[in-house]
Amino acid sequence: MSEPITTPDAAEIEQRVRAVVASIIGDRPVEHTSTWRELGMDSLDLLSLVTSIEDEFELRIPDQAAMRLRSIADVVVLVSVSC
Amino acid sequence: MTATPGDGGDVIVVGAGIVGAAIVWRLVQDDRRVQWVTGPGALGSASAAAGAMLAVYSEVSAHQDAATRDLEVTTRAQGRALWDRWLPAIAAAAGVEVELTPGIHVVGSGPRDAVNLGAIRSAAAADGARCEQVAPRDVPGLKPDRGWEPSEAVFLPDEASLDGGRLLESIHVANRSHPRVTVVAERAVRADAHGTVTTDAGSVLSASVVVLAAGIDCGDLLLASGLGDLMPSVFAGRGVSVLARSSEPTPGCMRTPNRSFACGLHLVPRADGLTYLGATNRFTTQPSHEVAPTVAELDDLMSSGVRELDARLRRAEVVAMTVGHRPVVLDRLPLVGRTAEPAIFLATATWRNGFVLAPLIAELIAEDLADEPEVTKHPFAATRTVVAPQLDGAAILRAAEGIADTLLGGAALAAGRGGDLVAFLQSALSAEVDGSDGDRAVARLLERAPMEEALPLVFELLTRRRR
Repeated sequence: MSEPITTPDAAEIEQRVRAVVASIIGDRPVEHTSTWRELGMDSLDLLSLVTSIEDEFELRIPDQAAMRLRSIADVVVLVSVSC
Repeated sequence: MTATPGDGGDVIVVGAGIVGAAIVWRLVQDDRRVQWVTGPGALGSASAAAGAMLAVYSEVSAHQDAATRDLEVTTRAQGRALWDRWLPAIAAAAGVEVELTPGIHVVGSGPRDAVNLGAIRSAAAADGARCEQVAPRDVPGLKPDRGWEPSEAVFLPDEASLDGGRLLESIHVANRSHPRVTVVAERAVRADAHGTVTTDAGSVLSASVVVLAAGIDCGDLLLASGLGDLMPSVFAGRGVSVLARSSEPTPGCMRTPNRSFACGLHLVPRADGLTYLGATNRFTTQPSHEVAPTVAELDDLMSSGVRELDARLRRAEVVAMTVGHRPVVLDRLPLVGRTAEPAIFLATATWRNGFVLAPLIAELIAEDLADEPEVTKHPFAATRTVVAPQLDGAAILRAAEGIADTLLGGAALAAGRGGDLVAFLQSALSAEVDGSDGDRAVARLLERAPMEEALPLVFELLTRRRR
């Protein structure tokens, strides 16, 4: 999951995921594979992230899948296979 | 005996905390062979962070319904009674003496503490248990800050406390030296229906029965093998505590009654002149072992401890900080015994009562193992339907009061506005619980954990939305 995203669709997904993350933690540089903890995000931030991602991409993320998300890269993969 | 994964044995016990250790100790008394998966070195995260009070009545809260309160009190009393023969037996086997400090003082200020102190006195009186009214000035070691003196205090001479860390070391020594125990000092990552446990080092252990006593991690072990539905969701009350070296260590255990979202602030004497100060209790649906105590958690704990219990702690040296996660399910009762998969047993969800209940839970597991699968003789069956509590107006009011207390931090509102903050919070929380506000993150949280304990998180989500 540390490979750079190159396909246009994935790049667009990543851009939208980054916008959601920025709405929670503010607009600052974020590595593709930075963990939520490294970004200072706690369980409530993750709750907001998951519901915002669901709204952004019109999908439903089950709790068990949500708990496995560790970084933007993980979210991009999840959204890519779900959309 | 130490570590040879794959040796085989009657039972695998996963969990190095007090509950797992107690189960191992109990099962070898029945001549069972046990493979004990302890992880690499830690003595159970929640247990290592716990105050280790053997509290029966001092844990009672006024808002509990009578049936739940009676069940909890009876169960804690049964657990407490076992300690008097359990502790000396472990100490003798380990060759390490662990002293029980008799008695717990409960001190309180203000109307909400008074209500809970009344409930403690009533519950003790109903059972004919000793609960003595004492003047706060006569509580040994109680030295609150000026203006924070408690208005009343009771002493429960039959309750007790102990050095939980020393006991854990002692029971680990006793278990490890037992010839029928094989210690596997690796971290369990998966438990399967046919009685196997896989570790992070790749070991695959097998036995006829696996007992998961790994606190909040039990669910992950089952999720990894696709058995996530075998147990209800386990949430956590994240607790931060400190060990301090004071020139005048606390001579006995003192605590406040339970408060909104706290397990009661408490001081417990520890070995070597140390004093334990605990504990925060922040509910979380997604606990992480990786996150160290935050500044806010330490600030809450230490400010309250210094103000309300012992102002001299201000000058004490902090020698250790610990974080633990109290496992809890929606009905706040333990999960004990066989699951729908006959080879998998649970011993978790002990919430604030892990230490006092540990010997009892070990007895129940031993009985459940000996009984036919369809027989469960206690109300904590792992297969029971866990019923979500009623998130009613009274619960919302308690949450609003608790949040207001936290926000004020002991300060007063403007004259004549004393009730306004609570009323406002009550109104905002009610809108969220009703779903009329439509916040999806809040809805998701309350759908998962419709509990009073989750309401401070609702408040926190609302404040973040504003930013």
